[in-house]
Amino acid sequence: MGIFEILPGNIAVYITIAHLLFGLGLFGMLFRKTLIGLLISLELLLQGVGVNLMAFGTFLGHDHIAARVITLFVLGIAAAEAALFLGIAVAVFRNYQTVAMDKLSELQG
Amino acid sequence: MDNFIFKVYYLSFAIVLAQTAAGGVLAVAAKNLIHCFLGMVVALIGVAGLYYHLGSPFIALMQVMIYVGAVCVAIAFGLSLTRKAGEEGLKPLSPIAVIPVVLPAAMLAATLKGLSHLEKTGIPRKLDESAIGWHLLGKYLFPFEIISVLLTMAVIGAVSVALIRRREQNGNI
Repeated sequence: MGIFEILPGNIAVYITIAHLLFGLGLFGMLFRKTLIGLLISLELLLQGVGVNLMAFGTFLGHDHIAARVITLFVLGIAAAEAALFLGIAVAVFRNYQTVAMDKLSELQG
Repeated sequence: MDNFIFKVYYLSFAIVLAQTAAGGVLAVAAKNLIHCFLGMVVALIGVAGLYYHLGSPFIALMQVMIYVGAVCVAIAFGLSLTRKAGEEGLKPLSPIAVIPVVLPAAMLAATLKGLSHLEKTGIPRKLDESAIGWHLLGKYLFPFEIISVLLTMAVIGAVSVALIRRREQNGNI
């Protein structure tokens, strides 16, 4: 079992997976073509933030409940952001018949 | 018997880690947006597993209910409403791809270096999570109320934005 035994109780593992999610989300935000792909990447990025907060609060914080409350706030704000983003994406699609970000260039001047 | 239970515990954590990483990669790298969506669901369930292993079944449950239950359904609807052939996949790679590799790697290295002198292992202990409710109605009442107002405003805003009439076609696009 070796390697498996040191995984669960180690803050470095949680921080590494959180940064991996953050990096993947950042990559997707830079390279996806459509608004929906951007939203999916943004969700991954925020998940990385949540895991990081929980890991630090659980392993190093004195107030374990505070970390949970703040993670809950992050979840709530991310949900609000997703709802608003989807509304905007649908409105953009109805006005421009596309959600490809390269084609949404009217505001570029 | 105890040994067997610990083996299951270690193995489940490894599975959760692999699931999160694989789902994240699929969500970002897949060509078809439906596959991206599937990868995101897998990654979100994996993150719920991580929360559970961090000693918080409550947050894990909230993660499953809010994300897998609500946000994913909303994204699925948005996906089907805005789909158009030929607009999927990734842009061609460019030198800017260095940023999402170097930036998290640098942050991770700095964090791990900062943690290197601390005691950082130990099984996360379960605690009485009913205290979360008391905190939300006591110490964190103000942010809690602000977020409830924010959620209401976001939903009203999303509905009103999505219901804007198609504007008059006036030549440019």
